Amino acid sequence: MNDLIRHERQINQQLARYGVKFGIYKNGEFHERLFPFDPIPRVITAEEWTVLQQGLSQRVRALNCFLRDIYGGKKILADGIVPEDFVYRSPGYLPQCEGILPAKGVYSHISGIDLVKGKDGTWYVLEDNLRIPSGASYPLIARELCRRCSPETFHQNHVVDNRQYGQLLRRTMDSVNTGGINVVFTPGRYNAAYFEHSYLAEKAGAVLAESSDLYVRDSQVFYRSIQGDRRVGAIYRRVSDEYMDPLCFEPSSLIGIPNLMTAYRAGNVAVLNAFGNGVADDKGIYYFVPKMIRYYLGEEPILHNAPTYLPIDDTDKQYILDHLDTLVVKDVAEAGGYGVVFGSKLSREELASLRDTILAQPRRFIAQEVIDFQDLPILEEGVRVERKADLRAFVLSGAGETVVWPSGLTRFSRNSDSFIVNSSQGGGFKDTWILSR
Amino acid sequence: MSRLLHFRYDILLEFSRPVVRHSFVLRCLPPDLPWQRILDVTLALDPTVPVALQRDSFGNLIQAGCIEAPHTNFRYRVQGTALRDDSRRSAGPCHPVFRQPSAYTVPRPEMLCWLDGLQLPAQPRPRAWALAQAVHDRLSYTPGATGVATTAAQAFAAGQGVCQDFAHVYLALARRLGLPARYVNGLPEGEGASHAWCEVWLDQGWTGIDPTRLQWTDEGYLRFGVGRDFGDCPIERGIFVGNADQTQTVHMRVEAEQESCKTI
Repeated sequence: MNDLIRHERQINQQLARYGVKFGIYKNGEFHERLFPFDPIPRVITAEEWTVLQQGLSQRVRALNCFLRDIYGGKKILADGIVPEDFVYRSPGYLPQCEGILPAKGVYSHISGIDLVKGKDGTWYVLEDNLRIPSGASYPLIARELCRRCSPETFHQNHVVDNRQYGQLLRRTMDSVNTGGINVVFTPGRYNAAYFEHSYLAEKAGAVLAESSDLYVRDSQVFYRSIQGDRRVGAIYRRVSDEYMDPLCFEPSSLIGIPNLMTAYRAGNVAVLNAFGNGVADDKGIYYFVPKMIRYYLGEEPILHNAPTYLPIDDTDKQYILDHLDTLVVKDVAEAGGYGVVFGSKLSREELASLRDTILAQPRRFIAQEVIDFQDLPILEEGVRVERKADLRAFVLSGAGETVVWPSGLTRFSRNSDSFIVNSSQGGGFKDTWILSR
Repeated sequence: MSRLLHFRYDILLEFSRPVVRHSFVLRCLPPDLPWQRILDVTLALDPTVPVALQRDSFGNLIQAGCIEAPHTNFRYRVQGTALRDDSRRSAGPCHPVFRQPSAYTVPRPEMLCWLDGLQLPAQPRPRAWALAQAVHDRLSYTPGATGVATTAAQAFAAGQGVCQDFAHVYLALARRLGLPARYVNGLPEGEGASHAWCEVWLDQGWTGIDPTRLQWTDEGYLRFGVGRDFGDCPIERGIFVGNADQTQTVHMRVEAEQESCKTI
């Protein structure tokens, strides 16, 4: 590991050369920035990983059941486990997807589950990302560069290899492919995550395509190529639902594929992840995930949710109002660390105004206990300091199997007083070592 | 009393310069329903291109295709016969989205204020009717005052609009009152352009109500698509490559044959 610390500068230079960047919006302006890499890895023991792996797989299987149910028979609503309002008022619920069963019945193929580890050693799930979770490419390329600097570090420490992500992705795409090539669909090189799109396409052996490369004819999707147009069987799309088909969703979208929905509806193309998944990773629906696990799988949830309260429930509402100064309040419609407010940081007036907002729009918010998470060491100007960090684990679901990638994206906050680690808020990342013993 | 309706319409899109890669989705065919039997129907496109016939998630018939080659006209013509019989309307499920506000039908505070000031009966059917009367009185029918993107709140603030706006304002308020309601596109008996009205969920089934003409729909109304609002079921939606202005000419006609038999 000291070897890696010695090479920190070279690794970061290499990452910059590869264009490992992401973009953030701040004050309405778009800025691209490097994603700083910290050489001290997060280490997860084999024993700990076994539990995480089981818990993550269980969670994603239940979420896939939920999506199939919501856009199909809606049994969980009829049985009163999840209130109807929570589903139909969610901005992620798309009635245009009602009754459409995606290829092989899989909705969330690539799931990014965000966890934190409490000081007591317990892991908590903070958020499920079932739309287009990004970030797998960062630990993948960082590991590659670290191995180049110091190959012996990895076998001396019994670190599980993570280079199979490309194959896992390919196997997932192949398993739902309806006949034709696999493509990774990107909005283009001006997108913040373009490095990731091109890197994953290369690793998965898929064609990187933009809007002008794809078209729909006879309810089938084709890729324009100088060797003749080729049918597309699976699209790993890195564009949000609303921009994917201007004739079905947002009419002004120029980065979509007109009439993609007719091919999708006819079952002629697999779209990873499926349309409409936002209904299941809504911060309000999150509260119900443990209930879903019991309901669909008949199992006890292996992983914990952070203690969460819903303002629409009377008991919870009272608790929230009584403890607003210690809770964290999240706007369910926001993502990427936006719309997160810590009660402890607010003035008396701000607390009063937050209280009024919650009472006026109870469906819009959830409140959670602030988890005292374990800090991880990072190097700042050569000095070890402790910072908040989370872990995004990647779970891949194809036809008949759900696999957890033995790696993950550990993000840390660069400010000592910040709990928000999202890359869009300017944090850095680390490698995540899963030990084989 | 059932009625036999002969319908015929002709829609022409003209582009000021040639356009290519023109993808479209049409919802221009009336669906076959127990109370709206489609006895025969033909669709002709010019230019002629293959069309995928599907049903969207609202149950609407859609006709999707793409004209690759340069063209300055796109025309579609529909002709057919329908047997309308409202006595065959049956109870059916109501999807919960029709209870929720949608993109075009979010009620603004001033609308809710106005709604609170109305003296509406408590019973659902009279309530639905009284709301239609109030909306009809509140808005004046003014072609050209609003556009296809105008929301219920904007039309309400302007106090004017066309059938689409009357329908959106009605939907926003009906849902707020706890009456599930949906948007309907179609043609009433007569000649002219297409029309929009609403269906409201009463006695476990959908009943048509037209806030623009202030009437319960009768068997002269021919229905095409339904949705939460206009955005879910436009008769035509398209996207093309080309820098061209677009004009649309619509001729629609529905004629009722009197004294039709009731045996089909």
